[in-house]
Amino acid sequence: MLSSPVWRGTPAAAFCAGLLLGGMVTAAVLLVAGSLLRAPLPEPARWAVLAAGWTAVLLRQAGGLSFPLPENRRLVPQSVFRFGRHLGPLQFGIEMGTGARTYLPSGLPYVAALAVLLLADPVGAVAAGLGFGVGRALMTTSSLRFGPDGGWNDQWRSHRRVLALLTGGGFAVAVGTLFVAGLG
Amino acid sequence: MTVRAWSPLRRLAWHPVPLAGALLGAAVLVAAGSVLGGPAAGWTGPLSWLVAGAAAGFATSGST
Repeated sequence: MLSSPVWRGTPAAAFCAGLLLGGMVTAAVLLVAGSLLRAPLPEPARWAVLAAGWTAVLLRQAGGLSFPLPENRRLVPQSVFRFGRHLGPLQFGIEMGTGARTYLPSGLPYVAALAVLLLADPVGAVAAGLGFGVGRALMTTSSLRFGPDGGWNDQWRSHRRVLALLTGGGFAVAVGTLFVAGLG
Repeated sequence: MTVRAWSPLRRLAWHPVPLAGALLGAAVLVAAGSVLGGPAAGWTGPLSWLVAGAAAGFATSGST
């Protein structure tokens, strides 16, 4: 798919913009839903729920636990590109950026969603959604700039465990900073 | 026909491992800024959420 001409020039930029918007849409939805869930839970309890969910996802990824995570295995249809050279990729990007229209090979987005649901203020939620879109845009951009032969995905697969540690570590440090600073 | 040479440095710059390492580095920098204080400390919350989101987003690589 990344060999398509839509992934070059301004259409690619439209796609990345869509990813950012999609991430913020999901974050906004989580914030609104979270405002209802948080009411009966004091902050220490919310951190405890996040820690429990995070542990469960880690155990699932390590093979120690098995449970389904919500996932939409229907990919975004190619028909979105009927909207033109820029609106098509923009819509595609929005749908991909929400995280709700794509296969998620990592449990980390679910933990991030739980964190936003339970702990984020409006600015934090927007930042988290923007960050999610940036992360996905970084994948797209770097895979295109790495080389023309699709080797980026091969490198990802070859270094999957290291990458899981690095991304999980970055996430852990960021959330840990929020916890220590009392910003959750 | 022009043949583009994909230099090793370019490949390294866009390799997934250094990029993921950069995200971890960004998280550490934000944490350090929070500890050290100063004007940057006021941005700890939004920057931490931004980095957390970016790490989660980048972790989904391979889904397209």
